[in-house]
Amino acid sequence: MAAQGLGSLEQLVLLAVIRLSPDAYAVSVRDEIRRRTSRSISRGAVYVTLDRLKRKGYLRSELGTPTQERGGKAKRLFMLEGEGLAALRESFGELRRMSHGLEDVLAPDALSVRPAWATSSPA
Amino acid sequence: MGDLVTRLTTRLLPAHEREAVLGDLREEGVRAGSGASALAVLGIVLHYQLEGWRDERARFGAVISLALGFGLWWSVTTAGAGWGELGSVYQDPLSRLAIRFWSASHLPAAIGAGLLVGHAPWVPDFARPTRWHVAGLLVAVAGVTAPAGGGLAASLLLVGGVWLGDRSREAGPV
Repeated sequence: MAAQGLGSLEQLVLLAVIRLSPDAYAVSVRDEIRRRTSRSISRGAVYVTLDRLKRKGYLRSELGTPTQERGGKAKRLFMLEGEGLAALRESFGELRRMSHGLEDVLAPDALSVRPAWATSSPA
Repeated sequence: MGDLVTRLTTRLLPAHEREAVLGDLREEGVRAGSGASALAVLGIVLHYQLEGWRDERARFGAVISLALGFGLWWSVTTAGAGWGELGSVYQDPLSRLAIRFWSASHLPAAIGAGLLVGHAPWVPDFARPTRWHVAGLLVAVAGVTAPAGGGLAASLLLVGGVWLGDRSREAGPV
């Protein structure tokens, strides 16, 4: 099956699930993204993204064991499926191909450098 | 108050997420039943409400439902218009019953449109909230176009029809 394109939040969520596995659930995924990217993402966005990725067949979920800390409620734990890994690989492949040759422009320490195409004056 | 709002808003979450969401909020230190808890659940509910409109297939399904629901409402109420005047022409009980039924055509039209929108199998499950958004639009149409005094009854029947249609879709084929 051809992988459906991934949005940037979907990529971040899939990567967080891989990193956190086997303890990937909405709270830990949101914290992991905030910790690594400094991006503040709303709770709702994380829930619907996890749900959407599950619907696409990229993730599967199961209920964990209820704990006292959570008021006796179980976590919904997410795990990556093969399709999800394939979609992530494809997505990164596209990004790599598009950025190939632009390393000078995209390097963090090249932010103040104006690329050649931006300095040429109009005819 | 916060507890009541939390309970009500939690009902708007997909059933499979309710327990996990409440547990997650508890783990994050959001006190159960507080105003903060109600606001947090409401924020999550809003994302689920919008999710159906982000998906092209679901959006198309909702638009189809709106068009068909409106078409059914319009065609049945139009067909029933003017039947009341025939009440003095036909005297037999069966004809009078049929005339009475059709002269209040906004009522069966509301039930029909509600059942259609609630059952609509072309709207995917995850886009369930869009059924209610479409129903809201049709309620507004019914409220404006139903004969004087019939708007409230039509609106209630329409909402009831959506609920019933949604339930029958969930239950699957008999």
